[in-house]
Amino acid sequence: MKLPSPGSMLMQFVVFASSALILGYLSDWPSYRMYPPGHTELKLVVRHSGKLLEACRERSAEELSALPRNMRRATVCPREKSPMMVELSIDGEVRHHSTIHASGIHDDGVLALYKKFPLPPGTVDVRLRIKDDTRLEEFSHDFEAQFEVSSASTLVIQLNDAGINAYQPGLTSH
Amino acid sequence: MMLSRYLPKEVNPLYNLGALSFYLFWIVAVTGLYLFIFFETSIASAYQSIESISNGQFYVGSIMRSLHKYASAAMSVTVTVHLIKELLRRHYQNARVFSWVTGVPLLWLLFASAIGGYWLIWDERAQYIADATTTLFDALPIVTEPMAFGFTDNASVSDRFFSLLIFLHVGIPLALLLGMFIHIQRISNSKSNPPRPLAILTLAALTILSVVKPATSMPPANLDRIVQVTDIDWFYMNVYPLIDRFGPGFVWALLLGITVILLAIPFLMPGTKKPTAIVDPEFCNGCAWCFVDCPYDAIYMKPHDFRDHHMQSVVITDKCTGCGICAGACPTATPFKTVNQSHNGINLNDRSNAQILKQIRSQVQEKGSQRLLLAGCAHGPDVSQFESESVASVTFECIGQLPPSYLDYLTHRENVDAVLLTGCGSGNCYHRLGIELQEARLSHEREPHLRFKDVRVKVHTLWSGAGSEGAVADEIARLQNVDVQE
Repeated sequence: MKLPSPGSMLMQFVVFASSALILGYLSDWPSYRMYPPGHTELKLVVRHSGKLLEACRERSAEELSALPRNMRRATVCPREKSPMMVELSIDGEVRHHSTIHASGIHDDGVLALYKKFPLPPGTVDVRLRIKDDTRLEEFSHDFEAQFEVSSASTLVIQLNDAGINAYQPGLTSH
Repeated sequence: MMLSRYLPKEVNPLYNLGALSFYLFWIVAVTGLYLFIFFETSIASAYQSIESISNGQFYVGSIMRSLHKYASAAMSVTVTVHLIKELLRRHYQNARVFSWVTGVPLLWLLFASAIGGYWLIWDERAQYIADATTTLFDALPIVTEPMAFGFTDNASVSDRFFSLLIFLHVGIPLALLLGMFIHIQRISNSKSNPPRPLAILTLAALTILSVVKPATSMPPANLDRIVQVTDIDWFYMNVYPLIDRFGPGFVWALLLGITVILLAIPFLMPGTKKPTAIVDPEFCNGCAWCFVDCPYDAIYMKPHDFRDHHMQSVVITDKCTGCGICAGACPTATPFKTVNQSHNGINLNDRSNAQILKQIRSQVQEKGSQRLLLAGCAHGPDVSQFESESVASVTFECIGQLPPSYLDYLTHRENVDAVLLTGCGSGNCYHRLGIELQEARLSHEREPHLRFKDVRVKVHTLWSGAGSEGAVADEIARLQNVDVQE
């Protein structure tokens, strides 16, 4: 086998060594800072079955007789769920306000929302108000609490079918 | 030019990008199989099992893990450079559309494979991947419940997720392998193994890197806390910072935009329709040399139209790139025959080889003594500029289009003293196999070969690539000086 020339060997060394250096460096560094030092975060987690947009009703005798025999169910319940209004305030300032719709083509699935909000470390006042039925004038859920958050910690405010609760993962249980 | 001079094709990654990508894939697959034996798919054990592999198996586990990581990083580089190189050489036009289009989805599969691997380690980098990836996917309107629910805190992650992840981390690379197999279906003699010296050097470089800088984990993931700063793999996670800075919508638009543009390139810039090969059944003797040499699988054999017990070549026009290598392989191109001299079994439809020979002969006959024929290709240095009182030139679409019998004929019947074949860079043939096949023909390793033994010493080669007219001029001067001295 013919040995490569010294120039060729040097070039091979340079190419493969520099490629290895680049691979080794860029596969880990430079480090990436996602958040500034001291950053804390509030996670708003909403997963709610929701309320039906309209109440169930009984069919009249005329309506029932107009239907085929196998479809004569006395109670009719619409599938569509009411949109849900979500309002989150942090230290008195409204940070999020939205109306969410149920998933599914017929808006008959779950109402879900996941949002993250940066928080200053220290004492923080949080208020979450929910209106899950458009027929209501007032909010159906109103949660307000004060928390002490430290750097790199998180605060979770969660709405599920049991209601609203808040906890600091690793510090307080939910 | 300098790189190819000191880094011949046997050790030059740039000339073997596709094959090198295959090779790196196999390194990742083999090392991945090893890691899979020891990896535990649960939240509590995933991180610890990786640490045990790295720290509890002397050097073996650490090197296997590091090779797994660095070979996949290297693959992202070879694949990206391969794409850029093929783009610059317009290897997406005409018959190459299939290879181009089937290559684009492989980028997604490659990135998905790598991201899944980092996720499995379940360290702070994996936590960042979980955070950013769920943000990206939750922005899709088809998502009914945010994926991020599963990563709200430590209590919300389940072992099942790791089972899913390992399934994906095995399944997606298998899909990638299948895609790579499909990607090379429209080319013949595809090289999925790099030359041995390059394979050894690559493995050695990756192994040394693995020993010097072994792959390590960050602290274990803790979803109850926020990861503020992390090490990231810039080869695969380069779009992740864009999610934080510009939002998931921007990143989706960017990724889908790039994908659509890449897929559309062959149709937006189709290029001019190249000539295609055409078979003349009357003169096709069914030898199948064109069928064997075609770099694009554009020729097949069928029973002859009108000769019993004979075969005949058929050109699949849609797959033909018009390289002319088939015409160079055709034995009926020989000018020594006494009848039907201007008829060959296969030719390009815009200019037959017989016409090219006629042109060369008329040029050569006008030259004085020390006749030098310069034969180039359309993708190499411009050889026409060197025409002079003693130098004739001819440009083929690919140097593989030149039948060796022409060299026999020109040196013996037309008193050509020397022939210089030039074209693309060594190992970098625009039509993949032109240089390789022509070299094999000249050295009697492949049909059709040279007829006269003395011709080989008169035929010189310089595979220097486009833009290397200076090197061609030097070689012409050298050949002319040699002739004068002789």
